[in-house]
Parts: sequence; structure tokens; C-alpha cells
Amino acid sequence: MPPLQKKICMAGSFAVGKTSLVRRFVESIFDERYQTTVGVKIDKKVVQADGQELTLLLWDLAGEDDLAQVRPAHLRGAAGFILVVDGCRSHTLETALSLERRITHETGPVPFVLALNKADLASGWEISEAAIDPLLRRGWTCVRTSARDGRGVEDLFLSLARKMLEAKE
Amino acid sequence: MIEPSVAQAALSVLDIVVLEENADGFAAIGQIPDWFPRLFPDGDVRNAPYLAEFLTTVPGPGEQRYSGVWTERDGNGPDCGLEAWASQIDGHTVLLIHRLGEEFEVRRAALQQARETSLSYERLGKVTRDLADAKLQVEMRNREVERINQLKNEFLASMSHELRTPLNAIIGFSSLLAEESAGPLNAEQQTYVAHVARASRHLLDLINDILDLSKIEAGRLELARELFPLDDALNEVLYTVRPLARDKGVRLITGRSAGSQIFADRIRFKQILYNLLSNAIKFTPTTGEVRLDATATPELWTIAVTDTGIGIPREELDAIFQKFHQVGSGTKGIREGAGLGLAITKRLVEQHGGEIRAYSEPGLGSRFVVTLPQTVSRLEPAADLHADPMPAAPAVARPDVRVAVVEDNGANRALFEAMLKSVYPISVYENGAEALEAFRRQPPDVVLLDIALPGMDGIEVLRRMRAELPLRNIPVIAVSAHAMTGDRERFLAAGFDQYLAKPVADRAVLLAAIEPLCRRARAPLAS
Repeated sequence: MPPLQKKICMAGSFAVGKTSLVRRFVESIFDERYQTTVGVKIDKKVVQADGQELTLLLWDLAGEDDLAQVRPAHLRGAAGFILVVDGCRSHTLETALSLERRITHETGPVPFVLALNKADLASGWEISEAAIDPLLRRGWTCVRTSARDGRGVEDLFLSLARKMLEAKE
Repeated sequence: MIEPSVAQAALSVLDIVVLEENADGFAAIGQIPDWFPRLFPDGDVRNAPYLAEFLTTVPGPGEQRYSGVWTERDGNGPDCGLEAWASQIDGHTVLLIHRLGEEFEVRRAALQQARETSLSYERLGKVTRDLADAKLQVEMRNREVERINQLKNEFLASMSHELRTPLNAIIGFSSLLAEESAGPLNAEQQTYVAHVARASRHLLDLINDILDLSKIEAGRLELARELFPLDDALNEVLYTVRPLARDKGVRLITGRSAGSQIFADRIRFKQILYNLLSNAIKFTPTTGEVRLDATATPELWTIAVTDTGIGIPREELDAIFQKFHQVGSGTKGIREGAGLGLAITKRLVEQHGGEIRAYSEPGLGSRFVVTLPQTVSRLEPAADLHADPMPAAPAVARPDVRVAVVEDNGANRALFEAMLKSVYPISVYENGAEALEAFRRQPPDVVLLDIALPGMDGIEVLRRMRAELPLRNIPVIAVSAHAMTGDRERFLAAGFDQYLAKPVADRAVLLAAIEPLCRRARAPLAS
């Protein structure tokens, strides 16, 4: 029986570290240079979650801004999504909140996780606990991640994998 | 009609591959470009996740669907940008895939540039916000420092007032006792009174030092520079410290004096000299020597105080000018004072634009050298406004001059009465209301008026006197323990004729303040 395959969309404002998180997760690599994503880039990774083998199809969507918007067609078939926020740029949380509404509108209620990325840059951190608390109270899963040093990255993807498996059940 | 070979060439130039759906999947129409197998190794585009998703929706007849741009890995090379169109022709789905060559890189570079610019603006905005925040923080901190300074000044003013009030009675009464104005004292009693007087004056010096230091540190000490004979200032200070040296058995020697004019704040200059000389005497044992030298060059005045005292350990030489520093083991137990004298001296010297240096050898003595720049050397000597006033106290009783004392502190009331009663008829009042009522019945000739009176303060009493015709011209002297910078000016501006700071240590000072006003008060009657 082929492993179960799940499509995950990575969404968020531009330069929040979506591609870097995927590269850290899939290839264990981090590149300091910022390379903008055009359109969509897809990677695959097989994971074990709750004793089950699962192939994650990671759809890395181009960052959201005035120049590029998430295409609804790219969201089709997504079993879950990851909203990525740059903890050092508070407005990226607002973008993530807006994206969550739009994505859920397209996909229906699918599991998602919020990644508070660039946790290694604590000195420039702008997003306060007070801003996150209301999301936690709403039942959101929020994970502090750093694509640079790898913290929280496995946890981020595996959390979502487990949620997707739970949702399937 | 385009020839198939021409169409194939065009597709090849445009980096486009056309595939048609059949029962087994999608098959290329015409030549397959070399990049196709690298990007889709198993040849089936439906196994590529992006295209598989795209192809889940079949276009309707005549409909054309666009995929958007996505990237696929080109073997081991860089990612390659692609876009696709799907349409239905004669019941068959036809897929056209376009490889974005340089165009993809150009598009990516443009987007990258735009986003990096956007990030730069964000960072600039953040820096600007951070700077504004930092500025706000600094402003808030400054306001806090200002507030704390204000509180400190209020505290100092209050402490100064509270300490001066009892000191006025202590110093005044001990002065009266020493004068034996209340009867002769035996030798032992004279010694006791002298101890009280010395201790209370020491306490007053400490209060003044603390206030001075606070003023200097707050940048509120203003120098009143003038040109005056250096020798005069030296002699005045020597006159004051000679008894200290004599009492201790220390020889006080004056070396060569510059004999010129000096441009400085005369009072503060004397304070510098007094601090250095009294310190030297304090730390020089009996039979030792303290020497004062003053020299002048066209650029500098140099004042040196040298002693044969106990000296200062080398490691403490730098610290002796710090406030509250007292030389430790080297002083051999001499710990009198709060450690403020040298700190104030250094700051006063520096405020004059000069510098002070200390040299010492433990057991042999110390030398303090003050240099002051000759900023003004060709001016004519100014009028000697600060020559120690030897007040012309009335030698005889003045029964024709009625002096009123308004003072809420019983001890001070009694003191002023005791100081003045042998010269003037005195009436004393505890508060302003009582005094005003009495003045209306019988106006006095001179009023000594305390400021911090309960209920109606001295300034209000004065205001009411100035508003009432019979009382309007009575000379009023403010006698107050409010003795901070600006208090004198404040009271004179309020309309007082004279101001005396408590403690009023000497009866002669009090009489000298009253006497000219008595003459003025009597003048209209005489004419």
C-alpha cells in the first residue's frame, strides 16, 4: 500500500522564511541569502507520524504582497497549511491572519499551524506574547521556529502531520 | 496553412512542448525538447504534483486554462520556471508547457529587487521608529531625572530650613553666652560654650557644603567673577584660619605672594583657600607647618598649600577629590568632616577654568596646587564689594526705635529678643495675624519677619503691610532659614528691605542690618 500523501501549503508574507523552513526540513540546509520564490515550488518528504508513514507534498507558495497574491487554484486539494510569520516584523502576523481566513474559505476547515519564525533573532523580536495569546485561546497551534538553527522545524511539520491524520480519522 | 515543420521549429524556439491526452496518458506532438525528460524523468506529466493538480480539472470545450508559474528542478541544475495551458480540441485535452528561460530569471530578479527594496523600507521604518522610541525614552528619562532632581532640591531646601532653624538658636545663644551678656562665665563654662559654638559652626559648615555640592552638581552654582587684590583675599582667609593653627600648635607660614589682582568669584576663591588651609591644619600634627604660596605668571595664578602632615597614601591620591571620600588608614583616625571639602574645592576650581593637583608622601606631608587661568588681567580693580563687613553696630541704646520680631519658633524668638533688647525696645509675635493686629495699633519702626510662619507666611504678612497705608513704609527684614540659591533674590523681589539667612550667628550682623533701616525709618520724622 503506497504511503498516504498529503498536500500542505506554506503561506505567509514575503521574506518570512517559508522556503527556508522547507529547505531546513527537507534538506537540512539553511542559506543566509534571501531568494524570492516565483509562483510555486513543490518538495516532498516522507515522515512518520503516530506510527504511520506519510508523504508530505510541500507547496511553497510565493510570498504574499501587493505584487503577488495566493492563487485559489494553488490551494485546491490542500489537506493542511502552515502560516509563516516573521517574528521580527509584526505586520506579517496581520498578513497571516488575513491569509488564514482566505485559505479556509477556499479549502474548508483543514488543519493548520502558525510558525513564528526567526526565533534565533530574539533581540529584534516584535511579536509579543500578548499578540499570540488570543490565537492560542482560539485553539491555534503556534510553534516558534528558526530555519537558521533548526529549532522547532521538525515539530512544526510533524504537528501538522498529526493534525491531518487526526482530521482524517 | 503553416507547414508542420515550421510549426515545430517555432515551438522549439519558444521552448514549448505540446502534449495530447490519450488512453495511456499524455504524448508529445512532434519533437520532444531536451529539457522535457530532465524535468519530467518518468515522462508522465500526471506524476508531477503541480501538473497532476492542474489537470484534475478538465477544461470545457473551447475553454483554455492557465496553470500559473511553478518551478521544477532541472536535474542537478537550478530550478526551472514553467507555465502551462490546457485546452480541449476535438474532444482531446491538449497541454502546452512553456519553459521560462531567461525570462524566468528576469522576472525573479525584478521581484527580488522589489522585495528587497520593500524590506529596506521596512528596516528604515523600524530604525526610524526605534529612534523615535529611543528619543522618547531619553525624554522620559530626562523628565524623570528632572523630577528626581527637583525632589532632591526640595528635600535639600527643606532639610536646610529645618536644620538652620534650631542652629540659629544654638549658635545665637552660645554667642550671647560667650559675650557674657547674661552674666559672667567661669573658665570651665567658657570652655563648654566654646565647644558648643565650634560644634554648631561645624554643623553649619557641613550643611553649607552639602548645599554647595548639590548646587554645583546641578550646574546651578553661578560664579560672580570680579577683579580684586589677591593679597586681600589671602589675608582674609589667613585671618580666619590662624586661630585654628594656633589652637593646634601648627605654624602657618605665608610664602611669596603674587601681589597682583585676580579675576575670580571672591567668595568662592576664599572658600577654595579656606578648604585647603583648614584641611592642611587638620591633618598636620602639633609643631608641624602649613605654608601658603601664591605666584602669578601672565597666564596663570598658582596657589600652593604645603603641609608637613601625615600625608596621603599614593593609591588614594586620585580618590581624595571624590565626594564623601575620607582617606582611610593614612589619616590615623582623623575622620572629621563628611569628605566634601576637597570635592567642592575641585569643582569650584574647575568652574573657574582651573585645575587642582595633589602631591603627597605619607609621613612627610602633602602639597595641593591650584592653578587658575588669567582670563582677565588688564582690568582695573573693581570696587571691593566683598571686604569683610565690620558692621557699624550702635554703641548706645536706641529707645526711640521700636523693633518687632515675628517668629514662630520660641527659641529663636527668645534669641532675637535677647540679642536686641539692650539696644531697642522689642516686641515679639508668634504669627503674622497677631503681628498685623498689633502693628495697626502701634506701628513699629523696623520688623524682623520670619518667612515660614504658620497660617499666614512672611511674604503674605509683608504683602498686607505694603497694602495698608500706616504700615506701608515700615522697613521689613526677612530673617529666614530659607537659604538656598535664589532665596535672597526672591525675598528682595517680594519687597523685603533686607534679607538675613539663619543662622544669624552674630549679634553685630543683626544690628548692622537693622541700623541703616532705623535711620531710614526715622528720616521722614526728622525732616
